[in-house]
Amino acid sequence: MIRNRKYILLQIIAVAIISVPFILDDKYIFHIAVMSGIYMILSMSLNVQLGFTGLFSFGHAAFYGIGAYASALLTRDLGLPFVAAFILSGLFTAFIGTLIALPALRLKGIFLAIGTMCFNEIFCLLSTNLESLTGGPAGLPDIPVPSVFGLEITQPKDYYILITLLVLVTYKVFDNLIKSRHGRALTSIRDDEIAARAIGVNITNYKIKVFAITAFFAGLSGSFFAHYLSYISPSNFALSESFNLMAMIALGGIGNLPGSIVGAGILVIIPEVFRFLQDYRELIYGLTIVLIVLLLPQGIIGWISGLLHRQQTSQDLAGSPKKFSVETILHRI
Amino acid sequence: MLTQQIINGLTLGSLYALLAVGFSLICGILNMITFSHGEIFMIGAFSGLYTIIALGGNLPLGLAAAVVVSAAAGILTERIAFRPFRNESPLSPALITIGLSISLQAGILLLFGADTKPFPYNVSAHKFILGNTVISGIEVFVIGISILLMIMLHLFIHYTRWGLALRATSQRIEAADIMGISTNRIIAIAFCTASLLAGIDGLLAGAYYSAFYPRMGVAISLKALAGATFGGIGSIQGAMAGALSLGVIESLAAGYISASYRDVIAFTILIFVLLIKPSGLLGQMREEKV
Repeated sequence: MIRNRKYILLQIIAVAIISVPFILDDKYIFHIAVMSGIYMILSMSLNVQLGFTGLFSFGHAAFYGIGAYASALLTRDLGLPFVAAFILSGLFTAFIGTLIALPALRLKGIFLAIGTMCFNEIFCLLSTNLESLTGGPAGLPDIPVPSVFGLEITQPKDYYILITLLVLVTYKVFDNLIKSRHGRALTSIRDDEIAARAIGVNITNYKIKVFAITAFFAGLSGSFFAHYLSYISPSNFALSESFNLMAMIALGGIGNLPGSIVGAGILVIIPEVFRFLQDYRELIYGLTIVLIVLLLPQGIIGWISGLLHRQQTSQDLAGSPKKFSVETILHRI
Repeated sequence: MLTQQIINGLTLGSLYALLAVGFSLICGILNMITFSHGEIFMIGAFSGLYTIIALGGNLPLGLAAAVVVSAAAGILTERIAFRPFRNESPLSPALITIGLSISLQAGILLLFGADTKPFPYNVSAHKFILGNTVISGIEVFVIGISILLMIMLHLFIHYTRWGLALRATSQRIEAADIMGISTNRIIAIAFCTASLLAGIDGLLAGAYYSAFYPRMGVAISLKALAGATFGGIGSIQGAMAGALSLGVIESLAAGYISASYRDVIAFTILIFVLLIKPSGLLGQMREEKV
């Protein structure tokens, strides 16, 4: 009963949030909403990699960039239609993801983090230096507008509808994945690799597949981004962008899929809301990340559901290992 | 040409090495990674620069200011980002230090502005000419200070009681605890050492390139991390050797292959080293037990 009510409540909130831009009907609001959508897909895919499988990937922005450049080049220089380029860039990114997974399998923990960071940096350096292919630091302009089966997409509202659909599809795919047998296998790899191997989980196989599928969705969002802005440059896919994605999933909660949607939304909106602070925005952004990790170790969704849960069964939580209050965290520091 | 490139590479490598040993100390003890080391380098550089300007060119006091400020920042970082998360996933400290690095860059930008500040003194005035190789005074100074600090670090780690405690803590933190070592203090000392080296390095790098700006630590700290991993994170000698050879490789790649691909080459070599020997060239693999 409670579960059902919660579900309905969630649906109402979702419908309300989705319809907000239509009520306000403002280009700027639609732009922020579309950008949030792109980051939602990225952070969900990173969360499956990091939060559910425990792979410390610090180079997710590179996959985003590969998708964007692939799609831009396919449509701009080879004249492919948007839908074909969209799918192909996803597949191409998945292929690169598999290639990256093979060396990454040998690395664990911080070494994987360093290796993936280097991968991100190599991607940025190559996209800056291969000028004949990528346009160099100036980037690739004039990427054609997307058209879906003959319909040209030019209005911000159309982009918004498209990205909303894409976010929902991505969520559904990842949600089904983590709730399936395969998802449980991934979680077992995260929790204890040796134990997972002992009960017969094919770790190598799963890790490669996770890299491939998360890279696929990162590539799709990259493709969408390229056609939405119609201009991309290497700075869009720098290492700092990978760090931003990490912050988004930390805010939403590591290993919490709906959390990634919320986290991405909030961290795209915060800098826009604090635009009036101008130079102080970055400072606030950095401090927000610090405070999130210190005060909300389970992310915003975990914190809220913790609060709700505490009201219902307060003694249950008394023994829980993590209590998040300012006093406990100050005590720990 | 070859000796010239090697001298440049050694200077670059010395600058990397002072940061790399810091990464190695921190990662070796805690098995965690820090992303704000480049910003500690940067604030060390800025505090040194402004002390030197204020005192009218007193280099030793500038170095002292860089040491004090960066050491304090390092200890503070340990308190905020690492101590609450001991024995937990390395993800939380990584995220906090990312946040700290963003806000430190922004803070320095607000305080001193975004423009690149030159070093107020001409440091390449003295030149030593050996055949057709030109070595400037600052290069000698950077390599010299770096070697001096490395020797001091080596003596500190191998011939003092704190150094002994440091090695014990990095081998096994719980066992060190049981033996009566105050591991909290030792970890703080490790951060302090790593950070003061970074601060001195910042001032040296700023003077060498004659450029002080809020993002000056970003690229170099990534290179230093790569260098430390290259040689073997957790091993001090490994980090030094890795950073120095990365510097030389980069400078040779710039001279003989292509200047714009030097970083690509450096990072690709690192990835190959990680593939063949994930613990780095001189690092020791920790055995994983059930």
